[in-house]
Amino acid sequence: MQKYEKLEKIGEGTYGTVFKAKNRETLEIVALKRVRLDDDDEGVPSSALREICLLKELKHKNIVRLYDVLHSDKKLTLVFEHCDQDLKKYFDSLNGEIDMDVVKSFMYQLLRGLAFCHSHNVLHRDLKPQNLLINKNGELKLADFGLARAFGIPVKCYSAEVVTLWYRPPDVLFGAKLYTTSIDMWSAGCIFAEMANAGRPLFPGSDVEDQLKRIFKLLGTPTEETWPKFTHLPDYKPFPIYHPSMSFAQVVPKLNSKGRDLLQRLLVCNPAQRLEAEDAMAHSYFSDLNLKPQQ
Amino acid sequence: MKTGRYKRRYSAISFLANISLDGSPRAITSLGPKTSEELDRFDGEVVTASNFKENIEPKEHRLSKNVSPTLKSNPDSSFLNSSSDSHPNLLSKFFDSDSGPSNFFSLPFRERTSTIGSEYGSEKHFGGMSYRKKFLHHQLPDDKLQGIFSSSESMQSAGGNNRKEVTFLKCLTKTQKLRGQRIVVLSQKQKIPVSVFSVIPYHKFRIDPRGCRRRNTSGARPLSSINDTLDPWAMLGIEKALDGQEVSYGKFLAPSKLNRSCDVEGPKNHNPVARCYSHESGAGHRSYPVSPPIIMEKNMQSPEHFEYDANALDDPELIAGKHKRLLPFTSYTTSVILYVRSADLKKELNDKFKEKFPHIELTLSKLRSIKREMRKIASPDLLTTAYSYVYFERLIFKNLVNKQNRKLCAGAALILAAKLNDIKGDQLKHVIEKTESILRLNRRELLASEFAILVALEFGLHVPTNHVLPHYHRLLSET
Repeated sequence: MQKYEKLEKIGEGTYGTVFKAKNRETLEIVALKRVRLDDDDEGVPSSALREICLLKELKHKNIVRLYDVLHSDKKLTLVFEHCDQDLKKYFDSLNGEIDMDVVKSFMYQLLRGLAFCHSHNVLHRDLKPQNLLINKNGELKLADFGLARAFGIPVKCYSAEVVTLWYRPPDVLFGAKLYTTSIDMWSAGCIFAEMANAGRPLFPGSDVEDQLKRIFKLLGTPTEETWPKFTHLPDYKPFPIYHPSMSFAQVVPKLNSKGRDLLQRLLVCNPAQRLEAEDAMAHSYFSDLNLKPQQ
Repeated sequence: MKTGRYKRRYSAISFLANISLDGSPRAITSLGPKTSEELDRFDGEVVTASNFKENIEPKEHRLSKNVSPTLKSNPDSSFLNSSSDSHPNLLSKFFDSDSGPSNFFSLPFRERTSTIGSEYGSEKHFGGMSYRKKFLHHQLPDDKLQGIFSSSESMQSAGGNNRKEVTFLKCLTKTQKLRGQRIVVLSQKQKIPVSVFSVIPYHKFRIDPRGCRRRNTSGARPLSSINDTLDPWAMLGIEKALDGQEVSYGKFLAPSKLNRSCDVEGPKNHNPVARCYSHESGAGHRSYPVSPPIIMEKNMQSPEHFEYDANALDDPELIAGKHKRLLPFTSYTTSVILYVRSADLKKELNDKFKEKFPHIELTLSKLRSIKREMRKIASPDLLTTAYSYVYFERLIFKNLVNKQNRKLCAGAALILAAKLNDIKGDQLKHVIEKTESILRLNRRELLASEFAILVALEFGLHVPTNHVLPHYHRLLSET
């Protein structure tokens, strides 16, 4: 007998299908990720490998829990903690209005999960609202570690084909093959602004060039002074010198000045100057934090 | 039968007679110590040969007697017997038989690059072996020869070019460059070798100019039969999913203690390193005790409490045998490395390793050779190589690797490491193909064992940096 009863299809992950299911014994609701294993293919998909091996080490309240790994002849099933929705769906339900306390709570939880990953030598590399799960208690959890990787030994062989375009930092857009926790901090900044605007993406670029143009138009084109040696990056292309025409007060009108300050410290083109998760959590924006605001 | 024996004796004698005594290299025979049994056998043969009343020229008689004292130390009686006999059947017997020939072929003739001490090893055999090589050239195609003279199990061997040119130098001038050459000093009158040495250019880490070396898998098993009967799950002792059934491996999802403890504990105590200084160093020389064997039994019983140490298994200090003598003077320290046959060195190091890890089935030389192959597959990605070493060695520590599955384990470890290190698409296909060909594995078995190996490692592929870094640094310094 199957341990889990499939209830409904939730979606398609980076690999295989995701189902909502119920544990027949405990009646607990879980999410099942089904991965097909083809002998003649390349073996276990690397995204499944990453999820299993990295989530094994990452037990944290702001990181989705991997309960079990089921293996049979032709398939692999990962059993995850189930959350009611993701941040993207949450945005859709908002009708353009969001409580700024919720933003603060979510942002803090995002940073806390991220700080835990980073302290365990894991880069997420695919932070976006779809990969942030939210449950009924207002808890936010990082999910989908299919692109995550270990860091610690700096080698210029990391993939530059990571992070969904809108959340990809400028160094990676220029083809950087060596990056560190700063890659996730940029995405966190983008998500912060998107939350503050109730789900309007900050840099919805159409391609790499458009993405960089949008970033530089808001933050100003980097110079050798603000970002030494950035012209040496593998895919560097010269851009016109843009001067910021819009203030952050216009970009995120509802965010208070402390929040804007935090956002500006995250959205720095030079990766070396981007704020770390640990430091971001200590920012004064969170001094009056309420983790369970009324929703 | 009788004529056969006669033929062999005759050929032995004529071989002996053909040895020139004028100091040309082919007369320099191997002087390495041999087992007494072999000596006896040889002795007997020669004596009977010379006593045999046949039509042998008295001159040849005399010659053979003259030569025999030198040749006595040559163990290869079978070689002598068949040497000048080019009969193909005899020759094939010579290769197939188990006894004598194995001895003959295991004689090392290869350039040793990493262990300085063994430079001498090949040197001593140079004269004799090159002659044998020349001799065999008549009967064997070149590539077969290469195969014969390159062993599949060398400690640090490099190979490829086995040919050496011999030049005679009457007197040395400043313009002559001797770097990287072997020099045999002959006495002026009798042309007897007095001293043999090599000029080695100084490198902190000598590069292994490998690449073209032919490898033989141990035994002559065809590719298909190597893993034919292996069930990766059974061999690793892991519960396997039966038809349609699902097996849960949730118990392996607890965070590895290693990962957490390493944050707190800081630097680890390294296992005592086996120092390889001479035991018998005489008065005036300090002698260093060999470290006691590392007690693994305790660790083996509770692998989760066992802290992996990258230098424990493949100890970087385990490269020279006891034949090293350290001379600590007041102003500087130097060491003298005595001549040691590379086969002896290999045996000694393997014995030492066995003593340290009695339960491990692999020998140190096998471990090192398979690690070299893994590196070749993943190259130039040293980080992937380093990770795969950690995985493979952890499997060894868990006592899951044996002679039959070692290549499968190594291959799977490598592919797992590659996948976690951003190797994907065509690059990953390439790595899988290289793994198949270099480790001589069947693709289906390789990929089928991947998940089994993952389970055997308890999903613990995210290892602390301090487990990987020592391997990585060693790999870096070797390039």
